[in-house]
Amino acid sequence: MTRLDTSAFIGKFVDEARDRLKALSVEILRLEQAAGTDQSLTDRAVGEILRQAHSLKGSALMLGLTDISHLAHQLEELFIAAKRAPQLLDGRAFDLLLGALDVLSDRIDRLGRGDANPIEAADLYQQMSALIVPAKASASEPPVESPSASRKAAMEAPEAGSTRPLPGLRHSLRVPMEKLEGLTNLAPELVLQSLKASERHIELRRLETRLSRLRDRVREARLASGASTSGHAADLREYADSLDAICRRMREFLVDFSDDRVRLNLITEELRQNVIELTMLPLSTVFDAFPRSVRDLARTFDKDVALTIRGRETELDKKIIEQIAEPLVHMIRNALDHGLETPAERIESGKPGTGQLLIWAEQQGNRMLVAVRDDGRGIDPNAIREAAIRRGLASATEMESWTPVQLLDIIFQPGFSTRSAATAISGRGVGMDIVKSVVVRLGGTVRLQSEPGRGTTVVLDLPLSLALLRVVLVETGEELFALPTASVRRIFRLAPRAPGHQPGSAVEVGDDGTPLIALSVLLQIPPAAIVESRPTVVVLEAGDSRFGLIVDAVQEEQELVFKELRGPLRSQRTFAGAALLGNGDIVPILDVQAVFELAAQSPAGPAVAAIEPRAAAVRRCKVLLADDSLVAGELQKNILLAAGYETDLAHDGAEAFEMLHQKEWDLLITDVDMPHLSGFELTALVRADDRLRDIPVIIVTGRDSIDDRRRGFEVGADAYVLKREFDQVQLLDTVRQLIGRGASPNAALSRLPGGTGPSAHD
Amino acid sequence: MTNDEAQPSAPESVPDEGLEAIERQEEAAGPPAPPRERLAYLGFYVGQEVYGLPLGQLREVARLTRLRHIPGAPPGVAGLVNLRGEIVCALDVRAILGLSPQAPADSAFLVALRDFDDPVGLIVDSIADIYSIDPEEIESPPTTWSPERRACFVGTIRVPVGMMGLLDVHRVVKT
Repeated sequence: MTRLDTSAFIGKFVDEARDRLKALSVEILRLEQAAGTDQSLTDRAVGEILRQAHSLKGSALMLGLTDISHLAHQLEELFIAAKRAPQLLDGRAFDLLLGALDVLSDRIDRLGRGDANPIEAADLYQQMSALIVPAKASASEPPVESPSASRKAAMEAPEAGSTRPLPGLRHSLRVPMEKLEGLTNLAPELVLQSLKASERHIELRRLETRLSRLRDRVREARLASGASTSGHAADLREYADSLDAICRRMREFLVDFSDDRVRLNLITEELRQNVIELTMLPLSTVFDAFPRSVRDLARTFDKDVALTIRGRETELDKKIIEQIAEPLVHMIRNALDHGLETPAERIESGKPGTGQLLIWAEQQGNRMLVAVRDDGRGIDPNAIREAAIRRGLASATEMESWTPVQLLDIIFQPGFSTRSAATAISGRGVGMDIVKSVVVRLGGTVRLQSEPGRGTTVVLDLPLSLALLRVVLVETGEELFALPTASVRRIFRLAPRAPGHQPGSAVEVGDDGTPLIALSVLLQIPPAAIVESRPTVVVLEAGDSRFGLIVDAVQEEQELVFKELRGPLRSQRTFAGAALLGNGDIVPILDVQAVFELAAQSPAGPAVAAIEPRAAAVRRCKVLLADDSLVAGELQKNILLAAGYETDLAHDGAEAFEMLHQKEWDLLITDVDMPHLSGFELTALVRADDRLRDIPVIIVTGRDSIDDRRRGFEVGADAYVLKREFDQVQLLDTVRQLIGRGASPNAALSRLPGGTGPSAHD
Repeated sequence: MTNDEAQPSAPESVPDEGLEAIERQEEAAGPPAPPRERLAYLGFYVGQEVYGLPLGQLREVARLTRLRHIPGAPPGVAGLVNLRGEIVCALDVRAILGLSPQAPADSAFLVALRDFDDPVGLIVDSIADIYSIDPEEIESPPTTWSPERRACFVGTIRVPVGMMGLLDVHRVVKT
């Protein structure tokens, strides 16, 4: 008997199973909360769980995925038993259930990636069976049922569920991303065409004016010829009449055409909007995972939390949603770990024992606000001050004049954490800086409000769509460039310059000490024919740096369809992308951070460093690479050098460890498989060494099993980059997240004992 | 395909005729061939020399208009071009092949390529013709060429206007 080829259905099964597991997770959590309070709520949840588990079992069996069907069956059995004996669903049972869901999710994810290895969780099965057996014995009914009877019950359970109205069916269609992208490319082209139609309209009107003038002339000529009935006069009269008719017809046509054009514009705009919405997803796709993670985190930290989620139906660009999931998890972890107090502490300070955690999303115009608020202890300004001094981010005297907002801002600096003892979950102070870097990359901003004793709110202010970017158009040397509006702080004009003033270098200093950089000098663009005597300065903020860009003129602000620069232009960093203007011209969009780096590397660069407000920020960071492959090592070295880092290469683990002791380093990037000392061993040694323990470590390797990753993090690595996915951008992003862009706070200070590094002895 | 009367004759055909030649996609030159599989190549001029690409690798050929220079781009990248609403990265074949630098003339063409994730095209001076060639006749690039130059070609072949260098398009785009 030939088996049905099931491989074609795996993709569909993965999607379906993910939905079912999500629903199961929601219902199990609901059940845990409602347990023993509301019987009808409990019954409904159990019914839904049975239905979902049973359907999952069915589809898995059809595809021959017996391990999945087996585990789903166990779930089903457990809940059938629980129907009769609710007491068996205790805290331990819920942990076990959620654990089983995790195992299933992992299996489904692996299946989605083409890994068909079955679940190996014999002990999980055992624990689950163990839960059911004593329950059967203690159940009030006599345990007369045979295995076949229990199976029968399992088959019947969904029947009971199906008598309820079906949950809302989603009428949706799976469309490959490329097709959507094709559509997103066409929409702006239509805008362009409709603009061209407008130009044609103007041209037509001009022709119409000429035509009516001609008609007037002909009329005059006819009048001048008097009442003569000669052949010429008759001809002239005939011409005048037909010209008149044509003019009338033309005017009518113009009116119609104008109406058509207005309608076309409206439709085009609506189409453009619709196309943008096509790539939007509801925030529930990330929010729905939070009840579960909040529950687990609350257990880990011994906190009592009531979670409220609002705005899960609001929609956002799919690419943004995918990228903010991780930052949001960071924020939630922070709230539970640092923000909320333990129930005892709360009651002592006169608060209810249960902390409130609110996650909400709200659209404001073309922005989306996503916020996490807790009613915990808030952020203690003194703790920030102390940590900032300890990490060498600012001096005590410097901070005396700072406003509370400035003080809070320091939390976004790489490597900052107010907890001196790091926990497994909140990492080693890598948190809010990652949140900020992700949000800034998406064209958004992060705001933080905190009131000691009352709580903390973190708000992510994001664009609705990545496809559309608000930019300020600037002109320099008769060329247009675009700057993301999100990084523009203010625009002002310089005082008139002395006649004949030549900007000799790229860098000057503004009145308030802000470095000023001439875009034309930086990009080596020939100056415009007429030089503006009062150039305009656009003050930009990127990461920690704030600087003014001198341009010839600032044009309007526009919303443009953003295209990344890829292919052969991938390697350049000055421009983040390009966009088409209404007239079909291409305008490149400057990467503000890269422009600043370019200025720092220019011959006048040291001047930028010298006048940089946070003076330490442009010191070159030192990165040590450990790789026994010369090709891989040299490749990474060149990438880092080009990005402005000082880099040295060690050819094996032992050499790297020796070199680490010889100099001060800001970062270690290591391969795993090396002679003498493996990357794992090297990382463990670094973590165990009092002098080296705070150096961030990135492991770059071809090993991508979960075990290897876990091992990497267990020995104390901060990031794990796969050679398979290796590309320059990813490596640099990771490096920046850990030590900033060529910007290191005083590294010697940050490495004083008492830093936040975990010890590797355990 | 049987449209035989409009044989493009002159090797230095005017660009527009060159374009028409593409549309016809007909066999234009060479003696009647034995019934072997022949490949259609677009021949184009960069400087004095003629280069070729298989028609299958081309997306379209268009006049080069409003090239936007990108400061700081690698030397092989001439800039960006708006090709019917799509931003295409235009490569400077002269720079890539190490020919003497020269800004593209108004009469230049953009040969947009297929099979690249991100839209890419080559800037060429003019279109020569479509040639039907016998893969057996492709020779390896002359040893007198520099190794860097040789690396950009899959081979050379004789065509009526001279020796046509067959570009290794992936290599050219990578450099």
